Amino acid sequence: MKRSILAIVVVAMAILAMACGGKQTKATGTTARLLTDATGIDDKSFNAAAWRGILSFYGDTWEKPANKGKLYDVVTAQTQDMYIPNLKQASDEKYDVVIVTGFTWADALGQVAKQYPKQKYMIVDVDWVGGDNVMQVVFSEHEGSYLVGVAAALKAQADGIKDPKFGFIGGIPGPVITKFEMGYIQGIASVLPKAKVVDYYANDWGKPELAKAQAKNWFDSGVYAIFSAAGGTGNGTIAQAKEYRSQGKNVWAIGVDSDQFQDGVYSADGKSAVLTSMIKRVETASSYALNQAKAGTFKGQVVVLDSKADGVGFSDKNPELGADITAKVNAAKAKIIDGSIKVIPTYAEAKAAGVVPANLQASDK
Amino acid sequence: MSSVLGMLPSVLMMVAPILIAALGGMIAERAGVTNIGLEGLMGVGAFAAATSHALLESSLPGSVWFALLMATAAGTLFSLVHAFASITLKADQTVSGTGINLLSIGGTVFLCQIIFKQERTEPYKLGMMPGPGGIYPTAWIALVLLGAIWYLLYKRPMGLRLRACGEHPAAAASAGIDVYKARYLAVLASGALAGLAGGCLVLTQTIQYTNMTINGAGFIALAAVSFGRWTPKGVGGASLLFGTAVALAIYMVNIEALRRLPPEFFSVTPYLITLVTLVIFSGKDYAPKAVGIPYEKGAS
Repeated sequence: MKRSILAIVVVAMAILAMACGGKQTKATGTTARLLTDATGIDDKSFNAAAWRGILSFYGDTWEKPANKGKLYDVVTAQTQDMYIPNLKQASDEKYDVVIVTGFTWADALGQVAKQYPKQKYMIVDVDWVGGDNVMQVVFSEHEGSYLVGVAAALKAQADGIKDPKFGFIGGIPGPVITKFEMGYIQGIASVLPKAKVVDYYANDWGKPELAKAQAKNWFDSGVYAIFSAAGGTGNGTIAQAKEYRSQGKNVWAIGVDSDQFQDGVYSADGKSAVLTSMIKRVETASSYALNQAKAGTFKGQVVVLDSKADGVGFSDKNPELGADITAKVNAAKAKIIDGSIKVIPTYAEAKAAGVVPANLQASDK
Repeated sequence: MSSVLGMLPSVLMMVAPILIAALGGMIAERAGVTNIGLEGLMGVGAFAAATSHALLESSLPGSVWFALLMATAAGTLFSLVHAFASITLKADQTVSGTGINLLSIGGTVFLCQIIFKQERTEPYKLGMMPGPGGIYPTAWIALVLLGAIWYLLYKRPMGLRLRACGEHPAAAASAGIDVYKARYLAVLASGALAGLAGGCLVLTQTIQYTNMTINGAGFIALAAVSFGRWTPKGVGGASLLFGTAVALAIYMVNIEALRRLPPEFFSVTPYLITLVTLVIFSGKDYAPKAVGIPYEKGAS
């Protein structure tokens, strides 16, 4: 009995201490908290990008986050059941903007956002949470994918490949990955209207062996470049392209989300098997939300970050892409921005418009 | 599209790690210890191989082989935990194996943080390169191990003793066999093989180690042990069947007439083929009699 009372007292004190700890005085200015999933901010991907966006808003750098702890901080949820507690805690502590990355947070955010109608939230890659206090940022992946498609096709043309084929490897089929595939195919077709495109969905984000086997299969049958939008599965494509390029075959992998040039380096002199990467700038999303909050124009709405907003783009880091092709791809980008090129994001519409083959495995659902 | 035969190197690339890990699991189970931890041990091996290869690649020629050695060593060392818990402490073998799996993911990512300051290892430039016919050396490693293990288990006295410990440890002990020692050796061997399998997997299938690298291969190996009825021949056949089924599913996607089918169909195919084969070939219980039961000296 005594022991249980003692336990209750200890727990109560601990809670009190935590509650007090939360009420530290804050410096003036827009405040932000980033909530990440278990991978944390050094995942070299989504979370890292969101963090970079916050850092740049405050004029800090990765190595020297001077204002961290004063104006912004980050909390990593080790498990999914911490999502709601972490969201509530951040809301109780009244940060100006609470930023979460990725769709895994959508359900938790949907619940908490209703309970704290005054708190501003931002989420990336989701457009179905709703609410006046939730800014949802989505990207025009089809536009960035169009650009890498153009780059791959131009490179095949420049290399004088006869009858080049192109491959697309997706993770789990769905509307977001379909945007990648549709943009890529339309980009290729804008340069080589007759080029054949093959596609494959691994139904998994973490099975590189499937992508590697398919990449070998395709490369052997005359596919020139493969674009993978498949998370970790796509590493298999890069692995096969590295192997073949090191053996002197002229084939390429195309990276996704961040610049995967470094992942593709296969020789001591720094040659990379990743021709280009479709870049999705999640950092633009977090700095955009913070700028809106600072200016007092933050609204609960779906924000589309397209080429115009510099939300998507392509990487010109690989010197083998060449200045000529880079210039042409940039010209295509300018046309997307001024509206003279329209990239169709859904399979149904693209099929109806006749710009993609009718037997793809893409899915709009 | 290319011929089915062109898929052979890919089939062997996928079969080799599963077969090597399954052989390890088979040895442990024949000695009476279930090793649910194959998945985790493969992870440790893959991490060790990827780390040492990424660090030494440019300075050490033949760093791939050193990496495989490191993978084997790491797997052996890590399996000591399982051996100690399940043999000396007589803990529940499933719980201990599950612990290995959880510890493996957390531990390797933690070490990546320390060594590479990120959640994964640095990508290496080139993994293991394929030999003649596009076939990776891992296939030959697996084949040699298959033969060697069959010989040791069935043609040498130590194999007979090891199997006796899995069937009736008390009887084995009465014949003067040190059951603890035999089981320790078997678990360490399974750790070494699973670690090697992880190294083979990471060096032939991808560009770096992440917490998603193994992604169930250890559990497939575990299934191959019972599917293969705890014999080297059976385990080899089961691994080959599964690898072929996976490759076939990848190949089928390229056949024009089959493209109307939803992508999920192709992902399910390998498991479906395995399941059907399992049903066709099911029969009496082939499991070693004393598998999963801790041995207590003097009891019964």
